[in-house]
Amino acid sequence: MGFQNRFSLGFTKPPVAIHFGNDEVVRLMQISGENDLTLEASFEVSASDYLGLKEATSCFRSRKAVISIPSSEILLTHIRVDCNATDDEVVQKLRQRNESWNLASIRQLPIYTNLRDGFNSQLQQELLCIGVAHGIIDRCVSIVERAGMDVRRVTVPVHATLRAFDKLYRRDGDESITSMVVDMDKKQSIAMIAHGMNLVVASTLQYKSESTPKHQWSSTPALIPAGSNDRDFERRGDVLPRGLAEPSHASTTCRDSPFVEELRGCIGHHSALFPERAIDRIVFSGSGALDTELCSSVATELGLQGFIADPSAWISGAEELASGPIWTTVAGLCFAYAGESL
Amino acid sequence: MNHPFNDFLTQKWHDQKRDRRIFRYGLVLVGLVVITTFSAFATTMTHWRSVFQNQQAVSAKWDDAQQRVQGFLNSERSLRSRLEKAKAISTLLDVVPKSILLSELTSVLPEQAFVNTIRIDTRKRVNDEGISMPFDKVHVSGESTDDATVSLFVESLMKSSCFENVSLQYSKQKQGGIARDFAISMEVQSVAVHVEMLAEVNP
Repeated sequence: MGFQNRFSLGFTKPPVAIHFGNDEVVRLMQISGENDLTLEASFEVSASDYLGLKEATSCFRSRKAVISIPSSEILLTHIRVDCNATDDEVVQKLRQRNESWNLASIRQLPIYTNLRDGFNSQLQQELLCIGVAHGIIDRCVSIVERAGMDVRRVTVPVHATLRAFDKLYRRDGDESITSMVVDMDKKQSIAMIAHGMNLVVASTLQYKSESTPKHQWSSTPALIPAGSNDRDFERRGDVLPRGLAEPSHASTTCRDSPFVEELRGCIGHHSALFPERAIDRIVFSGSGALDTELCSSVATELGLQGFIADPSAWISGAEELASGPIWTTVAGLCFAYAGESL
Repeated sequence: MNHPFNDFLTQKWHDQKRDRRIFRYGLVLVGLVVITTFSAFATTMTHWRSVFQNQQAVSAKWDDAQQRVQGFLNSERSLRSRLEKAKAISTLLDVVPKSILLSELTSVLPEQAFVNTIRIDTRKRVNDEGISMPFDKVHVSGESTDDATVSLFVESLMKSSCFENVSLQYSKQKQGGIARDFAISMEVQSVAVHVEMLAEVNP
């Protein structure tokens, strides 16, 4: 079977998305189809379980893999540089700030130009820079390749998570929607703000979500909230955007909690860059989003409409196997590289 | 256009990976070529072995045939030699010594006659079995005093065991004389001559 996959079907199938979670769990998923996406297979394996990972990878009909490294392992910052600054100058500036960037693979995304520090100063631009230590990349690639896969791309959860919502912004004018996506995890939480599907602000948060029992989400239907977290979920109608579930009503408040303050800081950063745009909604993903009451209270505190990510709404067959916010990054990986020739 | 965060692997890593992949495919290709070559070689060797075995079998038969042909040629050469010897002997056997013929002729020649010429022709005729048989024809011309003497000479020749088919060709008066010219032809009875010869050799 493996031999057949390797030499016949592996060339035409989309790659296997592999996300190394902060919770020491590796999530694997493969989807197929152009418009009607269908789940081929999905697995959750402990990061230390080498044999389990190898067995899981052998079940996929493709050897190509795209990897998302743990969000706790990335370096993320916004910097301002001159508009005509070269890549080397940007890297140098990053390394002056923090020595960790010295041994990292760095990518930069221009966010905003037309900035001036003073009246006579040079025109500046703001860059969102993300770095991943070479050692981390090598470790993840080595683990996956030892399991028999052929790694084609390595990306970060910031990118992969946002790609999970690309299907929400397919119509003209959707880019005017400003969303805040909060990926909450045990080791690291990241807040991202996007205009449509374009990332503009990202920030690592000090907040670490508490351990949430996994069955809390999987024990209930994922797609339609009806005020209860335990039962009475129904398939969502046309009221809510597909792929987003409304959190249950908050029974507790988290007014002025550090987490909310951090999110306010992000919103403030965004407002400083784009004062004419307000945040339309906040979407929670990651294992921390299983605590829907917390999500609801945070959304209420920020005065935003809150949602829980559930990309399984776009993947037939994933409702029972790979549904809920913890699969957001993996599903985003699948969406991002499904049509790409690797 | 690719998103900047699409891939954190370096171009060098991708190049090395591509090189390794090409090397691996090349290795597989070389392996396939080697396997194919060895298969072809093994198949050819099998065929060659089969051809060699056939060649050996044919060679043995060829040697045998060569020996047989050589034996046949030797036999044929020997046969030819023997035939030539036999022919030579036969030639010798068929020739009747002239002295015997002359002796027989003169022994029966009457005193009143004498021989002017004796000519012997060797001729061939086909017998009842279709075999060409040589025989000697003797032509005798001479003179005699009268026809009676000629007749006596012819009768004597007819009685001789050395001659057969004796016939008088002519007998005529010699011009300007009383003697008569005559001519007689006869065939040599070779078997009788030989028997006679043998009898003389082994009395």
